[in-house]
Amino acid sequence: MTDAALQRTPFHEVLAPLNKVEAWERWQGYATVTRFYNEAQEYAAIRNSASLYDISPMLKYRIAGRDAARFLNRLVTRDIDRCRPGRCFYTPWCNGEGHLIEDGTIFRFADDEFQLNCAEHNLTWFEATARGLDVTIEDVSEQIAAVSLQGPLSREILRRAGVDEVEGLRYFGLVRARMDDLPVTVTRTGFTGDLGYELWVEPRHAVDLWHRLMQAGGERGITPIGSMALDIARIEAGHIQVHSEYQDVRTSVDLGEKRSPFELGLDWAVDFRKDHFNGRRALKRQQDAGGPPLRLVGLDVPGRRPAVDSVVYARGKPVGQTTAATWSPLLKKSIALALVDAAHAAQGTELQVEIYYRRELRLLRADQVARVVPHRFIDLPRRQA
Amino acid sequence: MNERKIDVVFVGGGHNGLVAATRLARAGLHVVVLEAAEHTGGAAAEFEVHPGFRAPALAHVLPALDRRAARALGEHRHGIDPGSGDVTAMALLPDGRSLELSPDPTRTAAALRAHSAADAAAWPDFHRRLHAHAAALRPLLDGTPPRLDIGNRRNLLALGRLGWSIRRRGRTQMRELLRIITMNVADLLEDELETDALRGAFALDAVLGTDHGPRSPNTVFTLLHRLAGQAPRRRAASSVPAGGVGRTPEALATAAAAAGVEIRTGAGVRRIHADAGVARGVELDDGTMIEAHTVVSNADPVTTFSDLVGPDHLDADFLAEVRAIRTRGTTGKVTFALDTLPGLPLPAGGGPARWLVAPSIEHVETAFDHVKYGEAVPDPALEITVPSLTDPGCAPEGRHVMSVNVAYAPYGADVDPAGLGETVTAVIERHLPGFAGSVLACEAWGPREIEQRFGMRGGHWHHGDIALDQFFMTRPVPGFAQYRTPLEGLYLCGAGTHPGGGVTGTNGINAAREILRDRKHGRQAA
Repeated sequence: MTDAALQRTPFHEVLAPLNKVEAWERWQGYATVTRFYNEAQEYAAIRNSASLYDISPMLKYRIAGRDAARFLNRLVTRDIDRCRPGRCFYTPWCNGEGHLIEDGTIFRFADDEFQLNCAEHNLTWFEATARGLDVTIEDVSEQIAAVSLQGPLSREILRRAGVDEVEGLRYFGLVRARMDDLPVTVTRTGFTGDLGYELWVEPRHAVDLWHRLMQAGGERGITPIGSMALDIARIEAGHIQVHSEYQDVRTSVDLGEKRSPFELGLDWAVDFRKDHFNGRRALKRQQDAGGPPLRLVGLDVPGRRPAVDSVVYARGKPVGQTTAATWSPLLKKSIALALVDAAHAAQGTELQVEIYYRRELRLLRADQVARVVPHRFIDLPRRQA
Repeated sequence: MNERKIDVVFVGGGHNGLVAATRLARAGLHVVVLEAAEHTGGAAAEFEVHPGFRAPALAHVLPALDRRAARALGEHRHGIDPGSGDVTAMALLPDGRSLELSPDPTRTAAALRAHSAADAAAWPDFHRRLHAHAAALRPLLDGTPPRLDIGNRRNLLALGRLGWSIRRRGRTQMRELLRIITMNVADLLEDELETDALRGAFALDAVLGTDHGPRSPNTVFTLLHRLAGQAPRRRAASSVPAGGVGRTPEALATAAAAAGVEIRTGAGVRRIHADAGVARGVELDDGTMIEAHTVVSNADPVTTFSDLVGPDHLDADFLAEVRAIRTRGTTGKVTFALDTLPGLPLPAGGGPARWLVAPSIEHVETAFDHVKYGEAVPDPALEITVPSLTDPGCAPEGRHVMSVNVAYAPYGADVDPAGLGETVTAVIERHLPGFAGSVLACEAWGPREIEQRFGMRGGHWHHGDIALDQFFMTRPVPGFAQYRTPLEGLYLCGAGTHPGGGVTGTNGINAAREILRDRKHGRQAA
């Protein structure tokens, strides 16, 4: 049973009967599915056919007004002017110390109309940043329901559902389309590193959307997935996630737990060519000082056990820890994302990982020599094709 | 423009701006001071209250000028030398008597005998302890506050010096200082003394110019801050300079001009121009752009960042902190032109005096209760000076000007300053019958008028309240106490920086030192 204290997403009535094992988890106060039956099978759909994941609990902000773009340029580390209307844009944002608050996507519908999607509440920070500007920022999280349709068949399924616009929709493009008579915003975005789309509708159309997609899926089928399957895919893709690779700086207590975009492989997303933005001064200083202490790396771990919560050593000295780890069904090996000291972050560096696991109830340790690899473990051509 | 490139442009020509400008010009820089008013000096300057009657605008009792500031002024320092000695406070009592509070504790003890034998006996020791505490805090007030970066030797030294200054006076005194520094001054005074008039006078000294009542927390600290600020080494108390308070800003302007500073009055600054984190110059009210390598703001921090720089160039969290600086002014200023000298009691030992109307702690606290809720204060506490006694030239022969600081006056759009003038006139008339009849003119300013006239946020003397959480390493905001700002090339030098208000020039000379240091070692934002 879902916890009565948790809210139900607009898709709940179709999800609940499918959730054979009743595995639910909390996401932003909503009950969302951890897995429907078997996460390996659900993962297989992401890479081989099509998967559907309810992302309605995401925070969605509508940002509009004459100064909307100016506001976003104050807020985020990338230059919003490089995101044309009809395009989406991934970006982190920082506080004045150059520490990461969050990362998310921004949809640009028009010159002065945007939607920002993220995992945590940000309204007070946005409003503090918007001081003096002609911009309205509205939390529209409950006014928009969304699902993520990911997998190599996703484009075909959408076309069959009547969304012809997907044909010309490029990676990180967006379109306000109709699925026959049902208005739906389609963005070519996702968290899986695969070909995929996110579909945004009014909550009252959510169930209808679900059924239409399932129908369009036909005999090849769409597999609903839970967070476990998604997590495998996102680790393979090397996507960072708040509360896993970093903590929202506003909630971190330990000074050492504040992460900079430079530590998370987001150097490319910090644009010093534009004028001031939150954290610019501090980030410039970090950069001038040779960068902050840690780096996000990928670890190629021998053996088949995932190096979950492992300490990483270099010649017996602890130099970091894994943030997320999984067996990669696609690569057929154990992979991990890890934050390690910059000095040990070079590709090919060999680091020791301690992997704890249980045999029946006995806790055992396996020591493996892992190799530092790019944290984006996979790069599927179909993602952008 | 065909002029030589400007090295440093100052936004505002108050005393700190003039001190800093003079120091920088003497270091060979091309310095321009932009002052919105028709003359420099800001709150330390004089104004004409009535034809032929000049009076200090706000600062009517001056602490001695910082020695380093005086040195920067060179030979022109003599115009500002506080030569006429220490000021005696005369507490006016409701029964018509008065109590003389001399800088010399034995004189005060003698005067106290008529009121309380116990206080007369206790006074010298209390006075000594209070001044010892103030002296322990002295090292806080001189230099640039350190940063909390103990990897840096200079920071470590500064922190160590402060710690040593407190510790070296012995365990007992250190404990006592740490015990009382966060206390309210009323508790301390009630613990130590019993004479209402004495308690009231000290309560007023502790809170005057701040947004605190005697029962507000950390008013022992504000009292020690005032004592420490007024008593640089080997000086006992605040003073009135020879030739009057008004000579100071004049001498500062002369010294600045002599050092080669170009002063442009009537030049209000509308905007500080910044580009990608670097200050590039300023834009005047008339739209003129002035480019400069370095911009120094003598304006208060909230105005500087919120209005002049603007949110486009600042981190949202920094700006939120700046906007949270408490700047509510609660002190009024009333100036009178007088036909005859009121019958004020004079110090038996001679010398300059100020007169206090603060008969008890309750009197001051009750006045604060009103202002706390934004109401006009029916019976305020007063600090009175008569500038024409030390500077006969500021009024026609035989006539006088009187300058009154009023605790308290509310900031508010609907507050009528004329009402403040009438209230103060009535209070003085009660103590000096016949006073109202001798008034030729009266100019009354509440905090709102002070804000409009001098551009100080909230009409606050100190450009931001004096309190433990807005002091030293956290003034104006944590992490930015070294006169540098988030913008490279923009500095603060006004009272909103450490160590706060008071015409000492310390803020200005510290800022100038940091600017010169940066020119030598390469510049950075804070």
